[in-house]
Formats: sequence, structure tokens, C-alpha cells
Amino acid sequence: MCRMGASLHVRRSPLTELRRGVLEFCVLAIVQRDETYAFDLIRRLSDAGGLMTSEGTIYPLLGRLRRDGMVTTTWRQSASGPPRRYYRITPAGSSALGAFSADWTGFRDAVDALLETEERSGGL
Amino acid sequence: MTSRNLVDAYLAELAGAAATLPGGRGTELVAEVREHIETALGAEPTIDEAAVRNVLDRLGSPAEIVAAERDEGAPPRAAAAPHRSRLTPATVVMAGLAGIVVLLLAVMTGTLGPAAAVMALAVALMTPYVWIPLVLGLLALALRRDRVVHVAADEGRVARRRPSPSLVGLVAIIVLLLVALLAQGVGYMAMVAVLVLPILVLLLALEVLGRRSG
Repeated sequence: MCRMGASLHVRRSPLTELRRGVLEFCVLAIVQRDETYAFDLIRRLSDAGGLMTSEGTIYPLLGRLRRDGMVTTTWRQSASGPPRRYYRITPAGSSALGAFSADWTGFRDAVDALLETEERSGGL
Repeated sequence: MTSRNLVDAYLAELAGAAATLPGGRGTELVAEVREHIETALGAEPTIDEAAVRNVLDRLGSPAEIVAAERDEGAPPRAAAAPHRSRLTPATVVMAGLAGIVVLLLAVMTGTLGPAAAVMALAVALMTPYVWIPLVLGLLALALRRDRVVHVAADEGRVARRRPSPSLVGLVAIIVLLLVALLAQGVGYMAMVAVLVLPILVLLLALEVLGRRSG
């Protein structure tokens, strides 16, 4: 498996690949709950733990989500400092998140089930 | 190296790497990261070198951020705004203006008969309080198109909030109507006010609806 991974994706670990696919839905889940500005969003992602390695790469991701119409933004005055851009989910974002949530549950359960079987048989 | 220099060097490196990004995205990215650093340092009890290094380490290298931008970045697409509400500000203004014309026609048909009403409306179209809003409506439409082009070419550039064209048009229409009313005799004023007030209310309602769904 390691050999295959190395030949397909030279520099990226499996965890990096997983993060790449999942992170945007974590962002959508956060902005669905609350209208949030980028720094606060990043803090919540870090607090969740293990979801990202470099915080700066969230900005390119947010840019794409804006371009794709998954989120919409509003500039708001902040109590201190310059105006902040607040992110909110769009109906398109909501439906993408809903579809992913359903897929994710099935995917996670399937992987968990396989990993557990593997562990049990390995332990005997 | 002082804390300030560290931040400046980081941002300069980012700006250099982001310079070749399409549209104004490079500038925007640098602004976003700068704001991030300022917010992060604002939350620190003391801004010393260690605090700054920690914030910058967590951000990742400028090269990493720009590489992520290139991965995510798509060329500006015409489909950038696929979920736009049909109630755009321009349609709201145009619908309101069409409403004014129809209402005028209906009222005049009641008093004059249909043929004379059409004639009277043609004359009425020459009066400033009809053609000025009409021009404003077209202007709003032009502004709107201009804005869509901006969005497609360079989505979300670091722009401060700008009032919607229809709101500008609406305010201008109200002001012009007030001026027209003041200039006309009292009889005119009563007639125009009765005609126009419900339309303004309708326009405002449509504007609010357009914003909510847009």
C-alpha cells in the first residue's frame, strides 16, 4: 500500500489527501451553524484538532467556496480594527454539505468496520 | 529581527509569490493574511518575537499558501454566480417603473377613455418625473451589469460595501419625485402622491425580498 501511495502521490501522505477532501465540508458545517469571519473559523477548525496543518491555506479554500457560490460574504464593522468579512452558507452550500454528510456516514462506517475486523484478526 | 520586521518580511514574501495569481486575487490574499496576522497578534497578551513566530508558523509558509491558491484557483468563470436571485436590483427597479406606467395608464383610462389615455401617457412620458426615473432605472441596469462583470472577473476583491444600484436609484427616484411634487401645483401633488406612494412601498418590499433571496 505504501508503495502504491508513493507511486501515485509522491509527496502527499494519506492523511493530507483525506484532509483535502474533507476540510471544505468542515468549513461549510461551521458557517452553516453561525455566520463567521475567517479568523474565528480557523480557530474553530484548530480547536477541533487535526483537520489542517497550515492555517493560511484556509484562505485559498474560502476563495474557492466563494467563487463556487457555496458561501456568501458580508463586510461588517468590527468593534476593534477594520471591517471583517463574514461568511455564511448558501442554499447550494447547504445541499452540498447535506449530500456529503450522508456519504460520509456510510464511508466512515465502512472504513471503521474494515479496520476493526483487521485489528481483531491481527490481534489473534 | 523585530516582530514587525518578521511580519513585514513574511507579507513581502507572500506578495512576491502571489504576484502572478490571476485577477486581483494576489492582493486580496495578502490582505486576508495580513488581517489574520493582525487579529491573531491582537489576541496575544504580549507581542514578542516568539508570539509572532508562532502565528507565522501556524499560517504556513507563503509558498505553501500560494500553492494552495493555485490548487484551488480556477480561472474566472462565467458561472461564478449561478445562484443569483431572479429578483436582481435592476429588475426590481424596472418592475417598479413598469408599475408606475401601468398604474398611470389605468387611472387615466378611467377618466379619459383608452385612446386619450395612451396619448396622455405619451405626453406624460415627456415630463421629468417620468423620464428621469426611467433613465435612472436604465442606469441601475447598466451599473448592475458592470458589477456582475466585476464579480466574474475578480470575485470578492477587497471592496468595501457598496450600496446596491437599485437602492441608489430608488433614493434618487424618491428625491426627484419630491422635487417634482414641490415644483407642481397642489392638485398635481395630490394625484401624483396617491399614484406613487403605493409603488414606492412595493419597490421597497421587492428590494427587501431581492436582498433576502439574493
